[in-house]
Amino acid sequence: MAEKLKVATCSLAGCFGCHMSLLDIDERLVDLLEVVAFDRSPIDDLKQISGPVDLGLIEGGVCNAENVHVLQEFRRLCKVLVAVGECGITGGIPSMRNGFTLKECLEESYIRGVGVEFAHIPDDPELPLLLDKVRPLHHIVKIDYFLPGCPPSADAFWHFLTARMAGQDPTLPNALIHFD
Amino acid sequence: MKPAAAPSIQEILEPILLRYGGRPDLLLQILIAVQKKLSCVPPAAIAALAERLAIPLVRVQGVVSFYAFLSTEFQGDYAIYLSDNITDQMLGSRELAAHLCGKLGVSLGQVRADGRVSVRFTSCTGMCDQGPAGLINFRPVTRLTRDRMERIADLVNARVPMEDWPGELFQVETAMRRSDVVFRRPLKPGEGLRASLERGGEILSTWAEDLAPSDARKHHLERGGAETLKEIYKSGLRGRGGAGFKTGIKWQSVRGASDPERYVLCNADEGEPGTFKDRVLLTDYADMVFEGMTICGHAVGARKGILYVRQEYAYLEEHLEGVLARRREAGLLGENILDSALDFDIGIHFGAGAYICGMESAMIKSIEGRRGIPRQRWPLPVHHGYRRKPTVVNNVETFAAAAVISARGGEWYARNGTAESSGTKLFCVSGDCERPGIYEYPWGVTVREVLRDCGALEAQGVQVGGPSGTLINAGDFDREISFEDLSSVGTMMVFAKQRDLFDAVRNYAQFFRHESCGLCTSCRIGTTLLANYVEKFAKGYGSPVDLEEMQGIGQIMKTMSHCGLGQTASLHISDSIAKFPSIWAGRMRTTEFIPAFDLDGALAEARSLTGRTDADAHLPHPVPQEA
Repeated sequence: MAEKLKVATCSLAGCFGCHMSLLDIDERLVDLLEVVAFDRSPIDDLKQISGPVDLGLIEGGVCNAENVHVLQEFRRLCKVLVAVGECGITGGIPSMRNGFTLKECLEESYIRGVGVEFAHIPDDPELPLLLDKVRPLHHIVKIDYFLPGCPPSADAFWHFLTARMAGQDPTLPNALIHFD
Repeated sequence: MKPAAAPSIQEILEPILLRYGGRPDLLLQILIAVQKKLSCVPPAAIAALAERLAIPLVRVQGVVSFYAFLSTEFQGDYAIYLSDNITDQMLGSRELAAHLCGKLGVSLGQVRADGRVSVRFTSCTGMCDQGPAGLINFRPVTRLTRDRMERIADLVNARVPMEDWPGELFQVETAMRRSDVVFRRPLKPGEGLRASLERGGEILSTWAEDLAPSDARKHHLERGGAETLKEIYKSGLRGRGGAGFKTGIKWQSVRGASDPERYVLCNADEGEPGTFKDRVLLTDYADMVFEGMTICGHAVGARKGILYVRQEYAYLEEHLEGVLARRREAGLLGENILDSALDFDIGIHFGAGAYICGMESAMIKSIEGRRGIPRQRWPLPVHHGYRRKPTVVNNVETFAAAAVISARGGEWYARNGTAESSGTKLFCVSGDCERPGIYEYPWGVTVREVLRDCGALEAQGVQVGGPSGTLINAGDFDREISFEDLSSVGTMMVFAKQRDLFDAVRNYAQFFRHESCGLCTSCRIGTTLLANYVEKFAKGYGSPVDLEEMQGIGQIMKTMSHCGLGQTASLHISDSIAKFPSIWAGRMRTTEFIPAFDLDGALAEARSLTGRTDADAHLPHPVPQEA
């Protein structure tokens, strides 16, 4: 049997909904695991990417410095990098804060918010700093494919992955990217 | 002292509504009049107009927001718009604008605190041969210099009324640098029209039905214009607006329509940057243009023509109305033209700053008082045009040519030019040359000949046909300007060896981003993406990955856009990549993709909010910013 396709996944400024949708391929997961080996991914709970992989799937946009580091590491180690879902492609829901300054956002949450005690903007060095705007992935690194949807349907994942495994250029049929 | 009570909105609107007969289809003309009166269209006026014209509020708001020269916010007693074409920039317009703003104490794009004046950039005002140029309260100013800017600032600061400003500031030159067979011997008023009436031809069935058998005028109607249409066919005349559709076929389609109500529209929305021939024609040869429209009316059976003129040329209104009045007096326009049964009259409409309105169906919308958004391509205006009636839409130069063809014959006309591009063409030459201006050549002239005649010996490239046309390098200078080879609306912007053509590309990208009407996604988003990518290269953040992406976007725009604007709005990118690769390569500091913005800068706000300075509070930009 041919070597398994190494796949890494992660969620940046996302909600893990795209990962849930990936799990929705249901029993096809069994078939998938025959041909795919997961590296870093919430699926196997590996926290660090172990080395070069064939395919990286990233959901969520980029909202803080840590997101930037993770994304850059994925770009370095993934042969093919995919922006998965609305937030990865456009910034999505988190980017709704882009209409405000970061100061306004943080003050709303940590200074003026309902029930806030010890009001101050968190400054612990453990916390990654927020970017002034939430960015889609392709603003930071080169992205090879965009898998649209909020989330992309399980079939869209399946279609994309099987096409990649067959060495084809994945093109989603209209039914899988038509949302209304 | 108490200021005199300002007139109410109603008092201001009343005479304007009266002038336009309270017609909702003249909404744009009404709004232009309000803008000129108040230097804005205030929300109260929008509401009042919606009510008086019995149209929805959003329709009025929509029209105001669409056109660059209409604004809900007060633009100052003196609204100054400076032409921002690349040819203006090459003559130092950006520095001059800064100088003017300094002298006026105003920031670009804002109204001075006392409400006296605002200074803005606008798309090309069609004075490229005598730039840097601009508009002050919609009157053109040309050949701007530091000295002239200072004089303008003094006049504004001293609050001198526009009518007392020295006339030399507003001088516009129109002399042709070179004339060929058509303009060496321009027509006398009536020459083409008489020929058309004498030639006569088969009567139009839609006209014959109007007649009682005993009508004494019937015999005149036998001069039905069909013979003139044959001459147009014989001449091989093709539209001069750029697309080059056969005029004879277009006219025949309208002539053959079953609806007796037809229209003739003349497109003088000359918005293509670098183009100014229509201005010259309307100034010095307006009779030929109106005559061509009248002849068209004769040939296709229309009784009404409309000239649609861009706002930048609205200063010609008095002159054009004067020519029309003189023609009516001379029996060349109105009822029973030259004592025949032909009735035809022409009205003038103005635009309000929108490049897209040069696109025929957008122009029709604009004439109907709506946002100038192109309609679906089918049905064509010849079937459903103005007021959904069969309509001929031709360029100013096409009508002038039609008048000449009627006077001198189609065969005579076709003797000039090439097989597929008959006759002569007006060229608008600007940029780096000794003698910018209008040149008449037979079609088929080579770029090199034009460059020689205008004194452009050091050219590295020419933008042929404006930003939506073709950018060529010296390797293409022997190509011919014709529909067979390099087709063009007649515009040639010349770039000398020392110029950085990237500046031109950047100017065009910003132009298209501003002028996209926003209807279709590929054009609205495509033009913005391209302009953003060009800015990325300007910052030194561009890479081959971006270049490839730009070409992909351009391809989508070319194939997916609704109208010609979007279909051509990426050509300057692909042309410049193909013909002048060094302007892109020279700006790449990296072969890998890097962000278009400063990553570390994106953390600056968070750093200042948290007071953090540790290493993790910084993000190195992937490539050192100093090369």
